[in-house]
Amino acid sequence: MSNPADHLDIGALQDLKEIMENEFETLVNTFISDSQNKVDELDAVLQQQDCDALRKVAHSLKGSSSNVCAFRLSELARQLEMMGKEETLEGADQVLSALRVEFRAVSDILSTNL
Amino acid sequence: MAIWSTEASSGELTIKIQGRFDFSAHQEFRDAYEKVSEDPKGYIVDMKETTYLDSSALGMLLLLRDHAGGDNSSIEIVNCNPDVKKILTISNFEQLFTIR
Amino acid sequence: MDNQVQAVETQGEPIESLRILIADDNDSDRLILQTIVRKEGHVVYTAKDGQEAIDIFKEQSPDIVLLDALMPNVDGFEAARTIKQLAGDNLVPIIFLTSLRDATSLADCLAAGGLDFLSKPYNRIILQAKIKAFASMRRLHETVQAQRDEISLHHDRLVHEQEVAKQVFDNIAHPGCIDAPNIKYLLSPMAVFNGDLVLASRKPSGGMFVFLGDFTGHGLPAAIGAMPVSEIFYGMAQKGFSLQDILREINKKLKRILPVGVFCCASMVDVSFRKHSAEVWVGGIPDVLVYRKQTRQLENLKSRHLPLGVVDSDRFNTDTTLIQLEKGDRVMLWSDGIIEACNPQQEMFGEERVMEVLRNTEDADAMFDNLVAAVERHTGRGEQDDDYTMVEVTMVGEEEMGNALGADGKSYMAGGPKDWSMTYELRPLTLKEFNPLPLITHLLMEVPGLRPHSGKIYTILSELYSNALEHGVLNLHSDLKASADGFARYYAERTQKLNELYEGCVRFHIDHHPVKDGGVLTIVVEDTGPGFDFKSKEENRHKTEGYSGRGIPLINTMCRSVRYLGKGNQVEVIFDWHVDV
Repeated sequence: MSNPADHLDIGALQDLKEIMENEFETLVNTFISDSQNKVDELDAVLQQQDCDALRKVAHSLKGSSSNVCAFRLSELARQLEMMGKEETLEGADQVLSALRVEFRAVSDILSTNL
Repeated sequence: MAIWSTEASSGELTIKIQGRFDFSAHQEFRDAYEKVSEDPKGYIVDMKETTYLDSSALGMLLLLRDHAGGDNSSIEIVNCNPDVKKILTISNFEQLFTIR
Repeated sequence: MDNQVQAVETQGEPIESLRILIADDNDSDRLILQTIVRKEGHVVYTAKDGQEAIDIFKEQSPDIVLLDALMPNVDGFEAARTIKQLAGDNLVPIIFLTSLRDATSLADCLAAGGLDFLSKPYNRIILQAKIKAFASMRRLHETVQAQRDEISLHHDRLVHEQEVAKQVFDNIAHPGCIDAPNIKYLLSPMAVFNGDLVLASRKPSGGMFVFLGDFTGHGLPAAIGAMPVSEIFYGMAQKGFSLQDILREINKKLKRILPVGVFCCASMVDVSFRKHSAEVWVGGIPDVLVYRKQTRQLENLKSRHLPLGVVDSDRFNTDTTLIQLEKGDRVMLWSDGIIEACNPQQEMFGEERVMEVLRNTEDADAMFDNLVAAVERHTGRGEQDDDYTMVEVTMVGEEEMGNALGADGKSYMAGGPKDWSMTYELRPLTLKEFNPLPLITHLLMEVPGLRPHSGKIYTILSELYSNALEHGVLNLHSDLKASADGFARYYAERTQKLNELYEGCVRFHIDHHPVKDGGVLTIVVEDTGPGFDFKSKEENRHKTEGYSGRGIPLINTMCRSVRYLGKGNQVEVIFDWHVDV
């Protein structure tokens, strides 16, 4: 099991938890289900080689994951966004794979931290 | 536009007007001769650095004259440049003030 | 760090509860943001896309809008533009929520009407600061709007008041006969609110008065003096009073009613078409110019007097300059507006340019228009903007001026009492307290033909009355007035004797009857004193030197005859007047 601090900004997450209070659980659940959809969508657009869609979906995921303090996940999404923007899909598959793994880790940590 | 005033030991109050002497000088000019510790024995209005004079300035001079005793007042207007002098001449103010 | 955040919360100022719209298509982001903002004490409305944002904005009119830039179904940019339009005049701060970093995208946000950005991840402190700042800006904007509306209302009210005032002015301070064929003038419709006044009146005798005045100040205070001046001018001109009388009356009125420091620079011209001359009085306006047609020369008539309303009657000087004018010669008057007219570089038009334009004009009839055109070129402003006041009066033949008489053909001379006599006796109590001269003069002024001679008549009455009172009734000796000291003693004695007076009187016998084209006024002043041996005095001729005896010889020059009657205690004066004088 990797160190949670490798995946999430623990201090910021704690602040977030305090702000959200009893809404925190809802937030986590929303994020996880929302992001799952986005990850699946990333898969689809990559297969279709749709750079514009890639850019948009990745951008959205980048933002939302940063808001839940998942900095690594956010960074991976950023890379995909850049690839979509520059229309170079070379290596995108690998990044997406890494992103999937990262997402699973983040989901686990968040779920167990409720 | 700026107004300076000095009280001489001989009892005269000198009021100096720098720049344009127009309506914007109204309050300051009045303050210069009203806010004095003692009634001056005479007044000197120094126009050395006055660039311009309009009819409201003439009005202010009349107010000073009224304050200083009207026909019994002693007011000198000095160091006028040609433009200022011209305006005073057209209005014939030398009939009411001593102009040098 | 948590404690720190909490400390800020409790020590912070009470935050005004605002209504804030949050539009973000991402559910988790939106949830976080709305929680943060609610915790700040604000009321929150949420939207998932641009269209929903617009709809909620229409319904709820929030104070501040947080908009995600990239949203489906109408993105943030378009929503922002629409919301700005809906807000109209009001300021609704729009803050874009965005992770976009590049300058182009950020510029697009501003172009769409956004005022600021908030980036992800959302920082509570930064958000708090921005909301506070924009709330403050909104309040400021509202204050400015309210003040602007108040000013606008106030302004409208003032304009309306001026319009009403203008109508009153137009009825009183009307330009009279300024449209006569020998006059050209430039006078803007609102000139009276710049303190400029132009009056012109035909005289009953056929001549014409022209008056140009420039009151100090602007707006209503400058205009208000125009009313009494006009009333006096037209009232007295129409009755045949002289230029001197009219000016004296105007000066007296203005001195009385205007505050110290407010006055009227003016010039008045008395034109006689019969005698081809004009009398000019200039007090405080720039040089009046006279153009000679024959020689094409220009002459200056300088301002010799203080403006109107500055000094009392006793110091007021009505001396005029008398000039002969041939047909075609003209007199030009203007207020200093022309001289001081500035071009965009703030250079004044100046007197030199005026002279240059006039000198360079070949055709005298074009002088006026050329000057007006030159001033307009200099300022670059059109005619509708002018506040320059100018009058040109040309000397023409009497026949060209038409009938000065009233429309019904009746001569003004036909009015007033023509054939009458009266006796007025003043006894001790009255002699002590009352000066009868203004009253008697006033009575005589009811005869129109006598009005041009008011000065002389007053002089006559005054001299005869003081002689009768002082030498006759009070028995004072004029020899005493031969020295300066004696003068003072004389008047001291006069006061004392008058106070002690218990018997004696002075009588005025006045008779007026008409003759062809004129009238004859006979005044006899009688006193109860001992009289004197006037026959021998007449042989000796009246002393003209020294302080005494000046009066009678002067009166002699004014009247047809002066004679002593009775014991020398009666003086008879016969004064003739004719219509063509």
